[in-house]
Amino acid sequence: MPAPHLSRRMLLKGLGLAATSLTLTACVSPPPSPQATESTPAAAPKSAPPTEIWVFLSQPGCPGGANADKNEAVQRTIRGATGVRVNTILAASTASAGEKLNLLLAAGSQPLDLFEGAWPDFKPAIQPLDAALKRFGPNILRMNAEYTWKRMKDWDGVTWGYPRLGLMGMTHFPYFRTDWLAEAGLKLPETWAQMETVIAAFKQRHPESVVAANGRNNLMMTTLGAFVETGCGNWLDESDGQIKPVETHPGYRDWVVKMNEWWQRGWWQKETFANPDFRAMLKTLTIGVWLGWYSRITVWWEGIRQEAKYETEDYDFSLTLTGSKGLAKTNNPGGNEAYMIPRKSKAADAVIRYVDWIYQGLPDDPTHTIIAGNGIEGQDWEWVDKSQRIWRSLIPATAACETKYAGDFYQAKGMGTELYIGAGVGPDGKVGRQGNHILKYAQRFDTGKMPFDYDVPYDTTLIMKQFPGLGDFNRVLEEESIKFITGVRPLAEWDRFQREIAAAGLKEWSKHHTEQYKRYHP
Amino acid sequence: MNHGLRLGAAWRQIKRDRFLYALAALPLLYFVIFRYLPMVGLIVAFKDYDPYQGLPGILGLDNFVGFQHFEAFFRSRFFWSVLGNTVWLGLLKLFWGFPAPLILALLLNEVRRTAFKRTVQTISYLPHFFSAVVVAGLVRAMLSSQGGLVNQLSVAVGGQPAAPLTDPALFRSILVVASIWQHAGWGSIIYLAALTTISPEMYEAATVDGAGRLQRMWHITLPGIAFAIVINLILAFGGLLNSDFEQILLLYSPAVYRVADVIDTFVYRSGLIGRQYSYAAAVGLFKSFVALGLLLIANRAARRAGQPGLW
Repeated sequence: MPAPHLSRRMLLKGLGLAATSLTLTACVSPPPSPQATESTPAAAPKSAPPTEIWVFLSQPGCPGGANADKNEAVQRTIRGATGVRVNTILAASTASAGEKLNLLLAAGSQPLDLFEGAWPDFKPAIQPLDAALKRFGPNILRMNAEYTWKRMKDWDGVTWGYPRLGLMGMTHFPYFRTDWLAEAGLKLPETWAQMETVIAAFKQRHPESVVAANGRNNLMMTTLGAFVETGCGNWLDESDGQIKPVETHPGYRDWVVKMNEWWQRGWWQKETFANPDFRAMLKTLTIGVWLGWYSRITVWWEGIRQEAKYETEDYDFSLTLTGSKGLAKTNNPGGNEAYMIPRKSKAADAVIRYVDWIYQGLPDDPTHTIIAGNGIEGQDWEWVDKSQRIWRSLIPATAACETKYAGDFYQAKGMGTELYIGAGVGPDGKVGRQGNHILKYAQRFDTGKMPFDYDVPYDTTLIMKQFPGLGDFNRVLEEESIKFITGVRPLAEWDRFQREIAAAGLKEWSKHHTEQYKRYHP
Repeated sequence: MNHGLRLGAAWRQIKRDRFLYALAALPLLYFVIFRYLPMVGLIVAFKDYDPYQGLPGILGLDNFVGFQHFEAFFRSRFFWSVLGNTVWLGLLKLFWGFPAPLILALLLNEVRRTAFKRTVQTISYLPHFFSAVVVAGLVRAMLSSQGGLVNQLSVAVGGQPAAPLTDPALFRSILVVASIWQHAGWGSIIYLAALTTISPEMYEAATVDGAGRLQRMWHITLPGIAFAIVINLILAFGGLLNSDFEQILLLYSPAVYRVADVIDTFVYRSGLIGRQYSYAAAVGLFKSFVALGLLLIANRAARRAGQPGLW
């Protein structure tokens, strides 16, 4: 009897069937469950199930997820105290967070109960919080300043979020290499002229030395006040009673001229305005002067310094720096950044209950806040002196993500909590630089100028609808300013630049901004 | 009756090849679901769409605005700059980037040592698999004014440190070179495959007739793979306006917007960052129509030149 054999036709039939079956199986796989992090607990308590909420983290401490057990421990603590189980949705990176959030809000297929952003931009998608805050958020209401709540309300007085930042005085000090200052026999500069002397001295002794900032806006916040009376922000042109962008202020030209002069002298880090990797740049030890966002020094540089165990290399800042028009720094109004609850969320009460728990005890007892931000007492941190609110982290800041809790449940960052969280001491016994900086300088509004419209949360989404060319207008301001600073465009064309701003829609820009300003200041 | 006979014949053919049709059905379904059905969403280009309105916002008619967004784009002060950058960058990549894999394939074809040939092929394919983020990081690291390799070499020979990525005069060249480096190796595969279809006897006959290496390349090799070249050229024309958005987005900055801002980056900023979804959809749709036009022109030109087109 001949052995059975597989004919070619049968083989092809079989392959076709197999391929079809496999594809079908892949196509009809069950819909993905909400993207749970390791923080989702394995089992709910057998008594009344906790209310479950989902929080989107646009800037997670560990984008790939932190230690699952530590996350679970903090989540359990929160659940036990509030009856709320908090789940997190992590953004893969800061750059992609905006896109992911917009997709989450638009699609609506994934539960979402809390996220952060500029509330006017999300107004159609979020719900008012007045009722929930009144019933469940007494601590949130109490701990945030009145002027901070003003920025959370629209002109009808409806509250759309609880504060994420708040007015800050500590974000834009100028930093200088202290070892190079000592080498040159110079002190921290207090005037613009002294700062230029310092930069020149650095350059002479260290030709590779550069001045750097993370972008034009941060540079303006640190330095523009020395040239513009109202600092870095909109100004009121009294000749026509209209609010205008700072790029049209006469002092702005003086500032651009000075920045261009620095560029011609070779003082600038040449990629300052081109989104470079500043962390890598800090490691080259060539940045002599930092004129950007403070945490690049207090967090990034501090991490580099600790890891490399630098003993002499470090930075310090000038508390005040004055120019011809006064203080160079502008205080940071914190924008319209808020924590918001989507309109579709049915768990607003639970969200506020959970967040209020974080605020509970403040200002005297920040235990809940520290737990939410740093983990379990006794495992991740411990008190050094509770009466003085000094605590020590038991996990190094540079520890790998798999070994630590990354603060995912700390959805109450801002001046309402961080001023009272006390001083975190590292394993080396020294107070954490970042925390210390915030505690000491967050409310030092005397060190900078206050923007005149600091309490007005402009609704840029509305303005964009009224003025479709807003994107083009903003691009003209940004692009041409950088071209003047870097010398790509000659300063002789400044007047032409002002005409271009007018042609790009200055009148419309002013009209809509002034209208909104008057709504808040009738 | 004829109609019935034709239907019957068609059905018999389908029945005979039913497994092949079954195999093709799912990929076709994929294209219908993920490529054709989403075209319904293009309607947002003609509406004042708010993503928080959900499906009624897409399919309803109460927020219909017609060509308003197209007009806004055409009236934008950056319209000609953005369109010009898109076309010019596309042409640069076509002019310099299209011949690169072909030349690489022709050169590899002349290599006799198999081990060396395979090694070069493998190394040349590798960059294709790097993500745009990795390539951008490599480019930034190489060109950084603080310790970048290029600047170190420049300083070593007496030059001054520079930041090429912020120089409008150099930025496009950087994009083109990076693109060629990343894709030339992979692109040469199709030509190497086409080269295998040329009969070795033709080369032998040409050698006997006294043809040199270059003459053989010109008279045998290139005509032999002309069909592959033409098809690739048509596809490249169709993709002229796809100027490698990720690469530009990761490398550009306001200093070089003038030469680097293309339709895709414009759409990204206004659509995803600026949340002007309708406006971004309108701009993207405009670009698609222009690309379709280019594809039709290229295909027609190819057929008129006696070469097989895409259809």
